[in-house]
Amino acid sequence: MAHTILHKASDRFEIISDRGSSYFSFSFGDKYREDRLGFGALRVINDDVIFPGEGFGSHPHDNMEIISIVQEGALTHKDSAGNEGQATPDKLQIISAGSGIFHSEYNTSTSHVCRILQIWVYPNVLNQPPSYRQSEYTYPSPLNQWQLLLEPGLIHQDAWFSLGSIGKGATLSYQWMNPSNGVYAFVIDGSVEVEGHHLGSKDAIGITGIKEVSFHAETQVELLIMEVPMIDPYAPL
Amino acid sequence: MEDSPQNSSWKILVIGSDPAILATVLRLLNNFKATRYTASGADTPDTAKQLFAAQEFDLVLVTNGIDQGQTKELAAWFRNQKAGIPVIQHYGGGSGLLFGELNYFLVQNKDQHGTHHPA
Repeated sequence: MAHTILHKASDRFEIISDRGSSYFSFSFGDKYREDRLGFGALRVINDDVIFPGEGFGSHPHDNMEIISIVQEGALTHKDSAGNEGQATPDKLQIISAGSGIFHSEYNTSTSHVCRILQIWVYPNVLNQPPSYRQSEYTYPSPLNQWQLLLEPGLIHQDAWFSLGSIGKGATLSYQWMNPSNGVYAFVIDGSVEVEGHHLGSKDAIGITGIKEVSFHAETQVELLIMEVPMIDPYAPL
Repeated sequence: MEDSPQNSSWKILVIGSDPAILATVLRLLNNFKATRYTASGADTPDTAKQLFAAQEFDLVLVTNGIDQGQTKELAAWFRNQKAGIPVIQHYGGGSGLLFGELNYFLVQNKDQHGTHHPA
């Protein structure tokens, strides 16, 4: 039997600043709600718009898998391990922070905004050597099929991310890679029906207890599927 | 947000082997405006034990570079010294998850024990 949890777009935390805008799906920074502490190993989905020339100065990370999906523009990364790179809408950025790095991220364009989804996943092993990598994918995503973005080996977790573009009126089913995992589906754009729920742009649904789920597109829809272990990172040490 | 331990002063012991990250976490905690934290840092398990024995803490936060075996041994040692003290793993390295972790464990600890209050 499916267990679902619905997270509406309007229920996200909103931050508007000179740097741009951010919508946090889960508690982040000084924004806190005890019922929004992630979904299993998935802890952060930040939907950010970064204005031209703006970004995030040097700051540390450790023990977190940080995935950036650029939807518009480009995000320029530099870190203390000497890595530099630019993520774009066809190039995923994956940082395994491991034992610790400092990095900065900027929209270096002088005229265009950068829109990104930045996603954090708890690692399944701590204090590994930090790494930075990019992974290319097809953008826009091919219609009515899943495109695998991320799998174990690219990050330190038994997690799979897939991108789907479903044409209006079509149905696309997702089969779990690991039946004990949960699936968190985030609607990037469009509207879709799943497990009796109607989801619009930036709505999300967490699903556990089943091994396959069908998404019926009410309009053309772009979906991000994040399949993650249902760990409890807040369990006492 | 709603459950933040407002107007309180919580004493936090932070353990981490990377000096720059440890300094960042201490700075974030000691300068946080919405809640008063007083944070002390230790770069090794032995230093952490010495600090813990000498001062009262409300929570122990393990950051990076301490392996999981050491962390478990430390958690057991701290609890043996002070039953019920939350010993938690901090993930992410910066401010992203820090205050959520503290809110969760300090509020939960307060609820569980009833009499627990910040100094």
